Amino acid sequence: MSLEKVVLVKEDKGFKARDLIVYAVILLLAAVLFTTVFLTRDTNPLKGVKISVDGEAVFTYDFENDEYFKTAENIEIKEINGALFVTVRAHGGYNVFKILKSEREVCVTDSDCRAKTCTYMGVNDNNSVIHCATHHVKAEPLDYDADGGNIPFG
Amino acid sequence: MEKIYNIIMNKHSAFLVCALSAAFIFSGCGSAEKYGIYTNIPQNVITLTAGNFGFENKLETTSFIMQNSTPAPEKFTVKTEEFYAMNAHSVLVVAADFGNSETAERFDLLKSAVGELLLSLDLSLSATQTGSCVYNFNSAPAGSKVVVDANFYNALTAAKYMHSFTEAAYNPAVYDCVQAFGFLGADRPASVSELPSEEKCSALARVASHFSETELIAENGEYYAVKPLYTEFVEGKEYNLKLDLGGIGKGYAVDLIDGLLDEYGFEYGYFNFASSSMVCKSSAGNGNYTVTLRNPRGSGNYLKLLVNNAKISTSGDYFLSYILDGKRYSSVISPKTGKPIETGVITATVIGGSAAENDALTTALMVMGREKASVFVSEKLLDRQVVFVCEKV
Repeated sequence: MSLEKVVLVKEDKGFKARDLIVYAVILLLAAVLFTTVFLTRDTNPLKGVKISVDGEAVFTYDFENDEYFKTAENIEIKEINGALFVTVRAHGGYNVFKILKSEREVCVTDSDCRAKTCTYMGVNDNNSVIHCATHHVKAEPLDYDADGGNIPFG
Repeated sequence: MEKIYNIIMNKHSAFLVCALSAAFIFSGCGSAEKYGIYTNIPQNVITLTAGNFGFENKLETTSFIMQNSTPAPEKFTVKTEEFYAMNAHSVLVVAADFGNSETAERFDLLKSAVGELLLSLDLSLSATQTGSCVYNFNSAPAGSKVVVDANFYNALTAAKYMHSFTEAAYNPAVYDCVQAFGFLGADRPASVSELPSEEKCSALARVASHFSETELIAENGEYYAVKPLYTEFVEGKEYNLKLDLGGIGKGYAVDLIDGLLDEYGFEYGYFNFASSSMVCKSSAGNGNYTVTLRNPRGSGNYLKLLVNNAKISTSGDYFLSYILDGKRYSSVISPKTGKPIETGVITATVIGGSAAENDALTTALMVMGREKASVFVSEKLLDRQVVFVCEKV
């Protein structure tokens, strides 16, 4: 390395006033970007889930207070590694719902229904609903308002 | 200049630039480059941003109003009835003057008619219902003449037309492919090693390519379907043509239920079949229903539509899908490869015309891919409103 380059490298060490201005601008931009993104995030997370059979509620879970209510006898509840496994028996079959507490998500892990379509569905926001057509079982957000004016589609 | 160059090239600056880029990507702003929404209304291409892709407070709103309607009288109330048939949930919503006993009785008759129709369609079009026409057709040997019913005959006639209209992008003869990838009641593969082999997919795709040879016969009030003779022998098993009418059946049902709403004299309401196909009559509020299309890659919605007196269908690779080693496998199958689509079109929605056709079209657009689909829409779907979302590759 030539002496000229060594001098240049030495001069380049440490923070200079211009460097600090550039850093400050970049950090300011990053802060603005994060603030903008967080302010526009979904501020209406899933509060709870209601499971019903033929339109009658049989189980509800409240994510906010970590509480569940069982309103029918044919419901089995197990808690494994922070997840609730709720088995609902109806119309000669069963569906196992998995409620992930920290992720605020609900899915069907097992069912003996015909096409097992319900095992591909999930509730992770206030618009999504799980239906098992064979057993007439539905899992929906506690806040779900089917007649709220909007028709969720897709 | 040299000073500025040194500042820019300084390793600390480079680190912060990297940090800023990472923040940009992780914050989701990079998704503006990841997805594109294509529609023939109001313009050809709108590039999505993080703002309107996934955050409900920034939805694009587009009106798809097929004909003007007048708001219902104030005394109208809403009644809702849910149905379970064809492996799916559906909901009938009707607004009318239910204080009038004749109207209430008429609604009861409509509910019964819809229930009976869905039951009969299950026994006709469901691939998983033992003894249904599709089940019997699929169970029969190649070349068999199978007794079917009028609904099977009509739905398959529509399917054959859509197969030809979409230049085989829509092909309902992919039942074995769909099953091979773990759908329609089959066991879902737990790992990539459990996925069907390339040889099997190709063989099943060749079987499906003979769909147009399926014959339909109507004679003396009886209906028959004749299976193609073509078979493939792969991995120790013989395969002949089998149908999955899931890509047209819900739309076909919606068309018939639209007719029932007319027949029973209800002009305010909607019938939503599994959030996949729907008929919207007029809303009792301001005439329009607000339909929100689900974000295919997250929570919330990506588009809001104001709709009245129109039929809508939508398909998405997120409906029935699973992810193995970071790759999504959906039940939407490419008839050419026999494997889940990898075209980049992740959801498609078609509005206007018949729901059966729309149902098949949404699948076809996803199979076609972005470029072919946009040409197809501009040349052949001039009477429909189409929206589809692509992953940019």
